[in-house]
Amino acid sequence: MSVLIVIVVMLTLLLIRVPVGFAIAIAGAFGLFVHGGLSDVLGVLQSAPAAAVSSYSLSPIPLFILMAQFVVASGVMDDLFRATQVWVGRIRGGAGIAAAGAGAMFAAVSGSSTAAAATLAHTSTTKMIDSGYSPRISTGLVAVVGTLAALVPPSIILVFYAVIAEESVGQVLVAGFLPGALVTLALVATLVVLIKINPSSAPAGQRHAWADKLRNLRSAGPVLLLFALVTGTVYFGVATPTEAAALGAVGGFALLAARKRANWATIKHAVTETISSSVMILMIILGAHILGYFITSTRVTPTVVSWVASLDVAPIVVVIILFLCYVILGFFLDQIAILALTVPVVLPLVTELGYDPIWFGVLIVLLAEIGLVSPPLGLNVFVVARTARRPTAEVFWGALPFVLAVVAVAALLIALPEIVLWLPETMASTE
Amino acid sequence: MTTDTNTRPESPSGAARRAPVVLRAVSAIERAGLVLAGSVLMAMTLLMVFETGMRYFVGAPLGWSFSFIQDYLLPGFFFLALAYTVRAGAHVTIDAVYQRCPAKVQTAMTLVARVLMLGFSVLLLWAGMLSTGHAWRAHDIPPPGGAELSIPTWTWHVLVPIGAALLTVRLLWDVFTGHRRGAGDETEGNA
Amino acid sequence: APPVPSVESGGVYTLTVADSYPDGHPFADAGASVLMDKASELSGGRIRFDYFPAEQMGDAADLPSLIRSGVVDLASVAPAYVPAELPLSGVADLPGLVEDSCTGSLAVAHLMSEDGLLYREDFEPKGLRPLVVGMIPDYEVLTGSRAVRVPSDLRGLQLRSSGGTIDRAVEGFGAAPVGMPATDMYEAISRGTVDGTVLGPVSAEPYHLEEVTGNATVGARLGSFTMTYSISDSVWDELPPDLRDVLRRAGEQATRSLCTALQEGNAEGRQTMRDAGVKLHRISGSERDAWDKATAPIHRRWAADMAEIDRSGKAALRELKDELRRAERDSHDD
Ligand code: NA
Ligand code: NA
Repeated sequence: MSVLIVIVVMLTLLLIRVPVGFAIAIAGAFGLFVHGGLSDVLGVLQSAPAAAVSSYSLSPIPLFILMAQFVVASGVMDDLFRATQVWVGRIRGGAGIAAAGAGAMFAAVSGSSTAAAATLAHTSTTKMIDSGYSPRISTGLVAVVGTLAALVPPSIILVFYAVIAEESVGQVLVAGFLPGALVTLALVATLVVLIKINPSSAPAGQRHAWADKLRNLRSAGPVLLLFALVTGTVYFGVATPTEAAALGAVGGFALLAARKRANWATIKHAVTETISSSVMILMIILGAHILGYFITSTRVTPTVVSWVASLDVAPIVVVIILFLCYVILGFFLDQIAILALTVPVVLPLVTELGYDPIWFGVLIVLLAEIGLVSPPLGLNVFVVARTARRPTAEVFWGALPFVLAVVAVAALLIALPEIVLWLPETMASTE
Repeated sequence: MTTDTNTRPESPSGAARRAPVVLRAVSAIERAGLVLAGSVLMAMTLLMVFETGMRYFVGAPLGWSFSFIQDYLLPGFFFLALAYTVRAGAHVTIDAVYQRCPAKVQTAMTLVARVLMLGFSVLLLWAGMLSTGHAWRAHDIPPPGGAELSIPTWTWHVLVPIGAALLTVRLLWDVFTGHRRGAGDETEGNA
Repeated sequence: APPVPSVESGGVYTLTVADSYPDGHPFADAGASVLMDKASELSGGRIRFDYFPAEQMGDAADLPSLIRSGVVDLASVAPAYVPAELPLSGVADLPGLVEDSCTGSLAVAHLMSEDGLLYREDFEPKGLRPLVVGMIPDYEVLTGSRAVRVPSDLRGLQLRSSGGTIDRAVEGFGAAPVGMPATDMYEAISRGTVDGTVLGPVSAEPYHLEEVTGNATVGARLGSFTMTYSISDSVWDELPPDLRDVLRRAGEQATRSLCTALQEGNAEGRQTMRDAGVKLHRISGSERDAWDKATAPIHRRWAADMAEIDRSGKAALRELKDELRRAERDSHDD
């Protein structure tokens, strides 16, 4: 009962526009006060801040954000988009495929879905619309392409999942690679089908000379190098995820310097943006920590888990219901907050049903990402709509076919968990 | 969902005009916190790269970097910048209902939100002072030669009350000057 | 700070218990469970427990402060996780001292009881009172490909280490301790990010280390891991004398059941490694002498480091050695 009250309090706080991290923290403190008085609130607040923020495993988060900020500031994304366009330009809808391809490459150096959507909206959406694409397709595609950043390593949300699930950060990161590749293919396929159905939604392709193609290949080099520096070092055991993230940040800076953009203003901007995003994420984590104490005290978790376990249904049904819940939560709540609030409750149940926690993590991240491009609250859509100066409704509609493609990939991953688990398992083999 | 950066103040309120000195002081301290947090971020990056090199090429890792990042750099980064990020509106909010409300209701919502955040901030300050005070009085210090640098632990406990104090001052300012949303105020200068 | 509400209601005392160990871990199964079962039994139900295992109430390092602030009443407290708060108790984790969990934990329990040095110096000032002492003795070196026989084989190795006194042992033997989350350990060893790790055989299985380990020592005695279940002193003061006695007796029983379980756990851990094809190297004869020789400077260094923070490591080491001799004598008399 008291859990319900606290959830209602939290939702009310969110609706009167208390920032998400603070809303969770205040609701948690309120619950603790009702449950154990002021001494419990102060007791928890004496250890929760250090416990939530002082976690070494979280340190890749700011470092990955910093890396992406440097990459964005370097302007390499414009080149990437152009390069991919030159390579696939002959096909009708080539620029769209280029946007997806460039998005996948950017995802390999960016950890945040929304940041990726914002960057891609800048670099590709307006160019696509200018060259004759339907605005609906161009904005919808870019909003969904952001999802790749959360899957393809590095991924901030997968790091966070690994921390709360107490799984190896390296393995969880690597597990996102193949699903990310599949989502890229699915998005490109959807695009091709959409253009087949309505050829006027995309301009005809344009041929490019081989010399042009080879020259443009160069711009992909640094980005692939950066991907190898981060994901490669983790995969081959040269560095721990935190070390790899730091290497990535320095690598991002090197790219910035190599492109002669490393001036005081861009560095300051990149650092300030990194601090803003990281502090916001850490505040949500701190809030979830405080609320977690209250949830634990009420013993609601074991009650729910044993209730669900007692239901006479197949485990896969339970898991699919859980997945649906994640999609629905994604409609309303921030992705980090969803994970922080639910994983401690849900994961024990999932593992008890016999499912792999790494597989589960990749799937809930993929499904919660749908919330970023669906109404009523779709952060990626808002960001893309604002950047491209298009109405949000148009972007929501445009994203819909691509969301269906993401759902299809999710179904495939549910049917064949090996797609998720194969790569991380190769990391754990004895030589 | 959005961050609240996109709502800017229309004009400074009466109190804000009356106390520009206090305001300037508050923002200067916040900016100092931001600069420190930025330095901490840089330090963390370089320390990790150095540590990787020492481990991989020299075979002699520092040993203390794990606990130093955990105890000092991450909390320092977070708490020194917390007040700035609240002022700059970097925290994600849900605006769906807010945007559909009349201006008067919006003002009321913002005031209530700020007062609640202030209450939380004061509790955090109180708790932070309790734990710092304990570590100070007990002379807690990791013995030399272990994984942690031998520095008294109050030096990292104190990061919490410092961050909470900065946040409390910022929220007090917002509440008592009737700042409409406490989002980034360009008149306060760019950080 | 505001006053903490009473644990008593209608003559029944309800204690909130927390630890950092999952269900199935010997500390939880043979330590916390036995303590709680015995105490409720001996008190005829006048003591009840509200138990939160597996870090539900906070990380291992936060539990002492959660006891102090009254969020929990009784919890697992391990000096290795809070070296700044319980520095002297690290003596129990030093290498080369303890071979048998029961001898070790009974000796340490004595030093942590009412008149013991470790209680007076470490626990009492923190408002903590140990009821149960558990000890995983026999820390061993687990490596991927490099075999370790004598201390000099450790020179230049990078070993994942859990901090506290164990770090200093690793360093003292010439290896480099590397800090990383326990969850990263498996992959770090299998990928060669580190050469191996140092831990008790009982802890290898939960992380599936037998899959990535090629070699392990048996009997290197690199150190121990000591933990307690400690109760808040202010809650203790609130309990009537007969119930304190109940907790004392229940704690003693739990200490004994726990040390037996940990001995078995270490044996099982070795067996699991053997079954998985790990080459176990038993330290014997001249090799043992080499390890003992390498251990002495680590003890001296530890005592000197304690002196630097105004703690008498020398006295703690001397008292522990006395207690270990006495415990060994007692176990032979039985
Ligand atoms: Na990514
Ligand atoms: Na949504």
